[in-house]
Parts: sequence; C-alpha cells; structure tokens
Amino acid sequence: MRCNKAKVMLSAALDGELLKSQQAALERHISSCAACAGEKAALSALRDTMSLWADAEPSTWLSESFAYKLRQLQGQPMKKINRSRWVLGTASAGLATAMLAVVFLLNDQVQPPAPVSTPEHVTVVKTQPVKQPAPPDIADKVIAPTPVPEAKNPVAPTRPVAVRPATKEPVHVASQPKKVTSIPRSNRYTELTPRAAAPVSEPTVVASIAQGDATSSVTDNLGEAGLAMNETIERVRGTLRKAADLMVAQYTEPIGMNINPNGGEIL
Amino acid sequence: MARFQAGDSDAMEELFARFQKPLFNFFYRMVGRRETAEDLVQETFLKLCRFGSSFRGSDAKFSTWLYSVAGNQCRDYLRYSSRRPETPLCDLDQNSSEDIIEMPSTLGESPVEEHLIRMEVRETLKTAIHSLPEKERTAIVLREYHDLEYKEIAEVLGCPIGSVKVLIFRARQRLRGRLGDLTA
Repeated sequence: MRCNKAKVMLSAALDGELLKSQQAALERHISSCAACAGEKAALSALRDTMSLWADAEPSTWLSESFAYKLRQLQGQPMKKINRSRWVLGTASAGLATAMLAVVFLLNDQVQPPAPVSTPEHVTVVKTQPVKQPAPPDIADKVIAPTPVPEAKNPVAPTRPVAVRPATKEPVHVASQPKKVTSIPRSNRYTELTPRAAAPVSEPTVVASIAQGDATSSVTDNLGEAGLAMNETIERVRGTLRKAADLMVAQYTEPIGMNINPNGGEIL
Repeated sequence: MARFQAGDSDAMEELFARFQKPLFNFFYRMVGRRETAEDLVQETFLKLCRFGSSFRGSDAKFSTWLYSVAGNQCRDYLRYSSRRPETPLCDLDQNSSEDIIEMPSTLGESPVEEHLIRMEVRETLKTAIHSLPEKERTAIVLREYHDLEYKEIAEVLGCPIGSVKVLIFRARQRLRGRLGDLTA
C-alpha cells in the first residue's frame, strides 16, 4: 500500500468507514510507515480541535416565529381539517342570501315601486293619492263647487287635471306647453315636486318626460276617463233628484203643492 | 413525519423541537451568521410543511432527507450571497457568549488570558471552516458535527460514497494546514 492511498484510508478509518480487510491492510502499513503513523496522530488532533466548537443554542425567537407561521399555514383550507368549516360557511351564506331575497320581495309587495329617474328620461308613476297644489293656469279652470282639504279627503272630486275645458287638452303636470314634451333637465325634478302634493283617487302619471311623447296619450286617456266619470256622476245625481221629486210630488199632489224638498225648481 | 403526512398538525411542532438545534448549528457553521442560520432553519421547516408529502419513509431516514433539504437551502443561500459581496460570507459573532469553546484549563494561566485564547481559537476555527469550498465544508460539517455516515452524506450531496471519502480527506488536509498551531 502506498502512502497516498494510506492517507485517504486513514481519514476513512477515523470515521469507521473501512471494511475489516481494508482496516487490517492499513494497520499493517502504519506499523511499517512512520509518516502515516504521524498522519494518523495529526488527524486525531484535528478532530479534537474541531470538537472544541460546541453546538450553539438558537434564540427563542426561532421557535416562536415558526409556531406563528405554522399556525398561519395550518389556517389555510385543508381537505381534512376545514371541510366542515367550508360546508358551514357556504350554508350560512346561502341562508343569508335567501333571507335577504325574501325581505326584498316583501318590501316590493308592500311598497309601490319607487320612482326611478335617469339622466335622459324620467317616468314617474304613483299609485297612491298624491297631493298636488293646482298650478295657477289650471286652477282658474276648476269648476269644482267646494275645495276639499287635501289631507282630509284624499279622494277629492275635483282635480285640476280632471276638470278641463272641452277641448280635451292633453294633461300635463306642470306649467308647461300643453303637449307633454321633453322637459329641460334643469326643470325635471322641480316639476315633479308640486305634482306629488295633488290628491288624486286613481293612478296618475305624475310626470312624463319622454322625448318621443310616448306617455302623452296615456295622460289623455286618463283625463278623458275622469271627465266621463264626472259626467256619469252628474247624470246619476240628476236622475236621483228627479226620482226624489217624483216621489214628493206623488205624495203631495192632492194638496196641490209641488214642493221640491231640495229647494230647487219643481221638476 | 408519518403522522404529519397523515394530517397530525402537532407532529410538525415535535419535529421542529427535535431538529431545530442541529439544523441551526449546521446552518450556522455553514454560513457563519446566527440570524441567517435561524432564517434558513425556518425556511427549511416551512418547506417541509408545504412539500412534506414527497418524503417516503421507506426510501431514506428522515434526518438524511432533512439534511438534504437543508443542504439545498444552504447552497442556494451561499450562491445568492456570493453575488452580493456587501454581505460578508463569514460574519463572525466575536462577542457572542453562546459559542462555547471548551478549552483545556491548562491553556491560560489567568482567566483573562484563557478567555482571549478561547476567542482566538474560535475565530481561527471558524475562519478555517468557512474558507473551505462548499462541498468540502458541507461534508466535513456533517461528518464531524452531525455524525452522518458516508452513505448519508452521499445522499445529501448527491454524489457517490467514494467522492465523499475524497471530499472529507481534502477538507481535513486544508484544515490541518490552517490550524497547524492549534492542532499541535
């Protein structure tokens, strides 16, 4: 065995990595080679010197920091651990959504739809009696016998819209040209406000500000319907009066007096 | 490790408690900085948490596999730090009292002298080990301070056992040259 090979084997022998046969051969060489024997002693001393550097203790920060990061990692969804949490979370989210949907639906049923305004065209429809002070130009034409307080009689017999000249002018809700045309943007919302105060007994188109006058015919139809209704009421009233007079006349005729209990002319 | 792979989250904490000190000292002897060594320990275990499913107990010991991961981490760090020369590769904690150097009481006549000798030996030893090439350093540190067999060191380094034998021999020869007076 040569010294070069023996030195490498000495290093492995120091670590106990040699086979028995190799160890025996090395021992035979060392016994006859002083240099390799010295090499063996030097390697042992080196090992002793290196062992002087003992292990150090890591700081407490290391374990604490790792525990924290481990908890963060474990907090991520894992198949085995968090499946039940995922299921519960999804179920609760679905239940909350369903409840919100029910609430919204109930709200829609109870309350009328709110007026929707868009920048381009606005169509406001109200189904409740709305109070509206009569615009000056229409108020002059009102033929209703008695003005009715708005708060006490929501079903006012007179409406500025209903009482119209026979010309059947289209109804519009503001002091504007008689035909409903597109109202300048600056006036739209101010026009809506007075209409909201008028008492009406039927669904009314409060404002129609469409560029193509799509709703003007609707306004006209409703106005004509109101007129027709008024006429009907008057006719019925007249008929009732006649009937009453006839009855009175029937019972008072022998006396020769025809008295209208209402104080009107004898019919 | 098998318990951790089965989903036992406490198993990783037990592994950490068992291996944090040896792993820390491995990194500390390799890179020379305590803070860096602690960071590398943490990164190694976090990697274990993420990729622990790749460990197969039938193929290798867990400690060997752990040192393989640590060795890769260390190699990556050393390559990264070598490109950034402003961070010295060996930033010795000269005043650290935790680096215990067990010295024979006969070295110094007075406690102060003994302390100075102790510090000098530590500095020289650290400098000598850190001057070794990366593979030789890894091999000699794993052999001398972690009692890994040549076969296990070969697995960590990814080389044959014969190469490990040569690496350790060369590392010892270099250290003998640098520590000449100390070994004497």
